[in-house]
Amino acid sequence: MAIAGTLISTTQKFSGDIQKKGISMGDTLLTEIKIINDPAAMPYNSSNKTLTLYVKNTGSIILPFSNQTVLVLINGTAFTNLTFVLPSTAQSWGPEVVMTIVVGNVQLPKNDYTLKVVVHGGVYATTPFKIS
Amino acid sequence: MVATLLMTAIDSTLMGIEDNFKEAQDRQSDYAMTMLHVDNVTNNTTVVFINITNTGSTVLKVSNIDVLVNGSLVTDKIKNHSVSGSTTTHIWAPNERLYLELNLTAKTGDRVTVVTGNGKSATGVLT
Repeated sequence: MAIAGTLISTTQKFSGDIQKKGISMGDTLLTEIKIINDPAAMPYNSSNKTLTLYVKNTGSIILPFSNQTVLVLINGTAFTNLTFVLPSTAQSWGPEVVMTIVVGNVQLPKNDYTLKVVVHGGVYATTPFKIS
Repeated sequence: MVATLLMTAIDSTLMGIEDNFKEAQDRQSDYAMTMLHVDNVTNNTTVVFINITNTGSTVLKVSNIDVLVNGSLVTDKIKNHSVSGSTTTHIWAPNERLYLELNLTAKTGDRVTVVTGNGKSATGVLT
């Protein structure tokens, strides 16, 4: 009897874990972003050392955004000084909404770079760009 | 009992994943079939005029268009639009031309990028 009870409770936990993992995988499939910056005209302010990124939610779920959930890498180096600005017409980073991300403390001499933005669930977008 | 619990969990999870996978596939397919061409960009002292043709095979929505000028997002500067002459529709079908007017001061040589809702873009130069 005790063995049967243990088996059932273990199975219930296992079933719950399967469903949680399924929801997580499903969210990843519904998550997609695109960096829409013009790679030949990046809004980089060398005086303030800020780079402005425009990231469009091209998936179908609302994305969380904070320094903990969004990662910006330039040539593989992570930049953590991020400011997020939603359009005045948007309440959240929903589908087809463009998030403005201002990256602070970034020094970019004239050169070619690779940008990577990582969001919820490890979904990411990359683009090469140049500062000229 | 144990088998039923497991089968129910696996079945509902797989169905959910399958739906989401199909949606992701549809999105990728739409993206691949989306193409646009910036036909021309002109201006006067305060307004920029852009003509863009939907050269792909997907139907696009004007309300989801974004515009960058010289790398800066200026979507909020769009003051008027028309699709093949109609100012009331937001549907931009294949082979139709979208006309945009932006309240913006610009100059010859400025780069103008138009981005669709699914993130496909095309760039033209103000002449």
